[in-house]
Amino acid sequence: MHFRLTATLLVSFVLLCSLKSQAQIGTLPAININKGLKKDWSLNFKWESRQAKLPDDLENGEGSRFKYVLSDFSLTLSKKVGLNNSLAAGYLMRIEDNRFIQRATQQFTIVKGYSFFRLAHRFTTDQTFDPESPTEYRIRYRITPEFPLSGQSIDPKEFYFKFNNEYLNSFQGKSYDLELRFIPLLGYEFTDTSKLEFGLDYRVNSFLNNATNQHYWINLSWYLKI
Amino acid sequence: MNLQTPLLLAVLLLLAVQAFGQKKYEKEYRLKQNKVPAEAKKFVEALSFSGRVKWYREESLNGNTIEAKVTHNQKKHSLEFDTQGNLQDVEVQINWSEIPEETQKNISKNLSAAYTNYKINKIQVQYTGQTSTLLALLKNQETTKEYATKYEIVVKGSKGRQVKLYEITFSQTGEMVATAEIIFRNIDNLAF
Repeated sequence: MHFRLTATLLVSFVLLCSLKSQAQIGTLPAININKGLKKDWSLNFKWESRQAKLPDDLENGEGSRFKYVLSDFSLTLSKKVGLNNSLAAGYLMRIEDNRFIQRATQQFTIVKGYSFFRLAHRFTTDQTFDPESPTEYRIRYRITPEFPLSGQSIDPKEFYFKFNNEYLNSFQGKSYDLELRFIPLLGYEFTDTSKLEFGLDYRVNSFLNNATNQHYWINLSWYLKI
Repeated sequence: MNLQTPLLLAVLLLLAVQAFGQKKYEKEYRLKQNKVPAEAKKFVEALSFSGRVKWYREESLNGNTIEAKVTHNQKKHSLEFDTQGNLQDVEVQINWSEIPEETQKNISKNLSAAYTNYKINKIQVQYTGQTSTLLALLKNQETTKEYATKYEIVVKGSKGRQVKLYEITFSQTGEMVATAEIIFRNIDNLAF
């Protein structure tokens, strides 16, 4: 089943890449390193990079060159509250076009375990400080179900399916925008502390202003707990 | 349009996924009907469950077992067999009100003594005994033959400021027999 799912995701991506479109297409590799601290505190370091296949390349048929776009480095401190909930605050630094963009994030995550799957709700607010634009304020909600692909729970050396669905409300100056994200991912758990996830990351925004932007990323993330 | 890069990426990732698949060792996984021991299948078929029966094989350090899970009369049933198909026990999810009143009192007393605050998340009644006895019990909801009853209760309990989830086994009379803390799986990939 996991092979068919992976094949479907990959074929979809290849087909997307073959389409002539104004959509942005690219890769989104990420590494997440989590360090457990005393008294239910933990620290998360995340590196994420973007390589995009520029629309001009698509239009001119010059080949499928993927160009480096940006890198994000973030550090988040979180505290487990209650049984399986966590409160977190973080700082992100984005390096894009030789300029630094900074972002502060605050989030609350609730994870519920059911007989055959886990369901996570993540509520986030963030503030982005870009020297060339007014401060952007966002209110986000993400829901994530996670299913084992064999048995009733995800055990080491097993595959799983995860689906991120996020709604991002953005306020910048006098403008408002809504972005939707749909991210189906195939995961593989090496151990409880090391997981690899791979899939499609589809984002759509500006549709409220009749100027729809679509982004298709191929997502590859590694989660490591040390 | 040059498709080489995404195609190459696709092939590499497919190979990687295949490679992981070959190393796979599962602790617990779905079992097809034709792999289920005949004795176990016979027992389950005799019960004419209304819901679809799902079969699992569980592998652990204590040995391997076969498990049938089904929802029948709006109650989750779990039937555990050894690999030969011999019945080991039956667990049925129940409500608090289905526990005898005297047992309820004892369970409440024991939980209050063990935790500052607690909340019951799930209750299962566990039956062990002769196969024919348990078959009669499940079919008719009663039997005159002897069998053992225990209650497995999942409790969110706090001791001081620490809140944890526990699976506690109680005897038929409500005495605490065993307590095991439920360890949560890592949630980092759901939070970040």
